[in-house]
Amino acid sequence: MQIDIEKLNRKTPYPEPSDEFFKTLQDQVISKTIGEKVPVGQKEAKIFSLNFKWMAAAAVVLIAGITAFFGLNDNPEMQMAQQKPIVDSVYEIHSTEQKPANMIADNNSVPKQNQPVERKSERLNSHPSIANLAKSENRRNNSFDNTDRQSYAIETKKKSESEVEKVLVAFTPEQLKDLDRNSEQDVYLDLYN
Amino acid sequence: MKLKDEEIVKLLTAPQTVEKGLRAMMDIYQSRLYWHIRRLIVDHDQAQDVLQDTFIKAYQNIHQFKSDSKLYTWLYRIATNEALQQLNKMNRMKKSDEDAEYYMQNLVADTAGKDGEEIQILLQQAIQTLPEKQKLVFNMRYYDDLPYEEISKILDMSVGTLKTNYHYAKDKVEQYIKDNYSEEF
Repeated sequence: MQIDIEKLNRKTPYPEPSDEFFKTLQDQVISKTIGEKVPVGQKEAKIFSLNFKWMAAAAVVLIAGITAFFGLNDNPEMQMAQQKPIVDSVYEIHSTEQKPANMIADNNSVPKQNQPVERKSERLNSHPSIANLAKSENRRNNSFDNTDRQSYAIETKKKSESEVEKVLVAFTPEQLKDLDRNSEQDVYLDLYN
Repeated sequence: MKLKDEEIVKLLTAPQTVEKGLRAMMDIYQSRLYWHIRRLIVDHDQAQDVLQDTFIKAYQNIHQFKSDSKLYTWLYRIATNEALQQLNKMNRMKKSDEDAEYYMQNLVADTAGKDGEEIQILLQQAIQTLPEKQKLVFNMRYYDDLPYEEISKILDMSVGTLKTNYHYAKDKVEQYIKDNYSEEF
């Protein structure tokens, strides 16, 4: 059998695509080329990006804000100024309010030695005579205004402590040792409270 | 009224007339390019994607088009490259060249229309057995009736090589039909 393909009808066996096919294809090509260049969403972005006045104003506000924020926070003097009254108030009350406590206040210059004394004084509140003093202080406290409660609480605590110190002076060393033994037990318990 | 290549290029390069230029270019070449791609890829949907990519690339690279060549030559070149890329993707999914060839031959039979004659289907299946270059040359010469000089520009091959390739391709196709055709021809 002799075959010459040049004599054949040069058609493909595949069906012809519809006219709609090419129309759709053209629309897709247009949307993917020209459509991508000017999308609706980008128009607004362009307007925003070209508004240099707003950008400059925003930049100035941002820089000023950051400078103010970090400038205030990083100033150590400001931090110290804020902290000082809280820390020093304890010692100021000791040194100014009670003259008899000045002797003890002198000892405060050595904090390591002072700490056990303060702890002891706190534990001594359980003693009957000291408890009475604390009760009288509590009664006086009730008459004060609530607004100054926090500062007053610190003040009265120090007052009561100084009064306790007065009582401590009256104790003999043996009595103090007895109290110390009892207070050690309390300290031990305090650790787990 | 059909626009000349120079007019289409001019429309495509001016921002106000890009769409008009694109539509003019597609109106003139879409059918020829579609069939060129379809004969290589066989599958209609994939041919559609490749044709779409061809026009998009043509639009994106229109500034690289040199006026000393014809627009359809340049478009054929883009379309051929895009189609070959797509074919390579399809072939990578097959285990071997035989698998790919067998797949394409089956695809020809499956996608052929009801009116498709057996000889035409066999011819398409025979083309799928050809090496890549012979396949391209045969399609452009046999179906698109392009002169060898134009094919030479599209495929960057000498006219002599093209003629040789076409001669070998034609022999193989005829032999394939002879071996597989069941009716008296």
